[in-house]
Amino acid sequence: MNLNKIAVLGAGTMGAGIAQWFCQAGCKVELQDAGLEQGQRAYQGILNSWDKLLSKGKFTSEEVSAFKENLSLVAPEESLKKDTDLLIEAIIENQQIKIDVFQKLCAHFNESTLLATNTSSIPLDAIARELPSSRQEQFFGLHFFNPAPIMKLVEVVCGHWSNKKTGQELLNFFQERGKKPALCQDGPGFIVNRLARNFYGEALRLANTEDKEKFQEIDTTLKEVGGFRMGPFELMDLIGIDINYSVSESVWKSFYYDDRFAPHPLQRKMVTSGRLGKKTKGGFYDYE
Amino acid sequence: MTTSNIMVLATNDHPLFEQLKAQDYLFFDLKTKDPFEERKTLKPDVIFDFTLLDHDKKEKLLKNLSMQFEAPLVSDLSCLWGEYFMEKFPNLIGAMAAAIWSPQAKVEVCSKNESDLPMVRDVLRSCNLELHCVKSAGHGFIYPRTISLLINEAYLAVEDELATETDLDTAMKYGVNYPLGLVEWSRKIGLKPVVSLLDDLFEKTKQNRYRASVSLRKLALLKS
Repeated sequence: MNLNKIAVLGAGTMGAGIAQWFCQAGCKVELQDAGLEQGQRAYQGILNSWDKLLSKGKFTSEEVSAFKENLSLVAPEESLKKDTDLLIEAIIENQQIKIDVFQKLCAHFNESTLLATNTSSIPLDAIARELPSSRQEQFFGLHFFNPAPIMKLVEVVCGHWSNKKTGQELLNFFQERGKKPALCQDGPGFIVNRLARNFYGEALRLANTEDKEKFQEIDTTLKEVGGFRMGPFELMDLIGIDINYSVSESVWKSFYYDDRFAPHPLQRKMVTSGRLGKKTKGGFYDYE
Repeated sequence: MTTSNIMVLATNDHPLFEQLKAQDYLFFDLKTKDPFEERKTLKPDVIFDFTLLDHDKKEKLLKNLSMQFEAPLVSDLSCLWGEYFMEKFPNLIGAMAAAIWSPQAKVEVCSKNESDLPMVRDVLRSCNLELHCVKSAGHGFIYPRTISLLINEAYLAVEDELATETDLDTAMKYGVNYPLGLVEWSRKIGLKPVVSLLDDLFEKTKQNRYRASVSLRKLALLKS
């Protein structure tokens, strides 16, 4: 599969990271955001990141120059190139907004352009079913992990209509460029956000109440005995307890309130009291 | 205390069975040799129980050991409600979770007295394992319970045809930096202890979150 021209829509943390990785993989990338300032901030952030990596000796100056050549920022009122090979959407997690955007994109891009969403929580088929039938088999999920230029995993998600052969080719594309992709079907949380739920859920049940010593014991044991890089409580504090809670709720609802995914009252208590983790300087642990 | 005064009971499905058998302990393979027949001649300083049994059988064994020997007991309660057994048997001085393979070669140990820990440490070291102290054996300790639930979900995902086992393992290793993929991990541990723990959790709590995947149970039965 030849993917040379990439468009990334949405220049938040994920969009910018995805754009950066594709530039580093040798693709020409157009980055666009609905907000001019956000786009400029992301564009500058990527350039700065490369300069930093150059000074650290991670890349040569020739490599960094080539990466910069590969990246272009497209203003909100301008159009993305019609002959783009792959468009990746990384905008707000709102099903209706994504449907509206993809319907416009279908009318804009050539028939050969592959369309992908970086959603982590919206069912792929809920978007695909609203697209013209000619586009449905070219529609995929490409779920990157933060920070996208560093994290190896890309979940390549095939929906009901996705062309399976193209899905496999996408997988090969990422594999050949150093990623560790995983192919999966459309399902709540895809792979990671489904399988990792119990890492948090069971830890919360083991602790059951707000007991820092217990959080510490669980975190330490899972690192020391289980070999996990971080414990569940420190990881929830890092991710944001609100974000983790919201993913838990979303997966739980999608599985028709199955006990396996039920959030824990302690999560709600933390969110209600505004103790969301490192970003609020307090969560399961204190960071003052 | 010499190793020959340490009585070790084990079932041959325990992952440490062969290693323990090869040591200089008073070793009893519970399925072939009855320790109670020799109780009058045996005066062990301590009894280490490495049997993998269900709740009722374990309770019966610990009860008999308590009645027939004066020595303190240390029991592997990886897959059971350790907290309950620790309260029920006064001479049960320690609980271990040695049946669930650890990528760090460490075993959770809960002891009523800190002074007993060196003895447990020595026995575990004879199997190239280190101990990691926890305050309570809980129900399936911390690591065994967490990893069993994670593994169960991986098998449920395979049943749902969400992805292949290889893709599931790739995702967890490279998306959340797990040291092993969950299917790979289940093969290192062995499926039987995982199913045993899930069954015991389900039986005691009646919560569906602990219901073992059918494919996990089937594979565990096929391999036993």
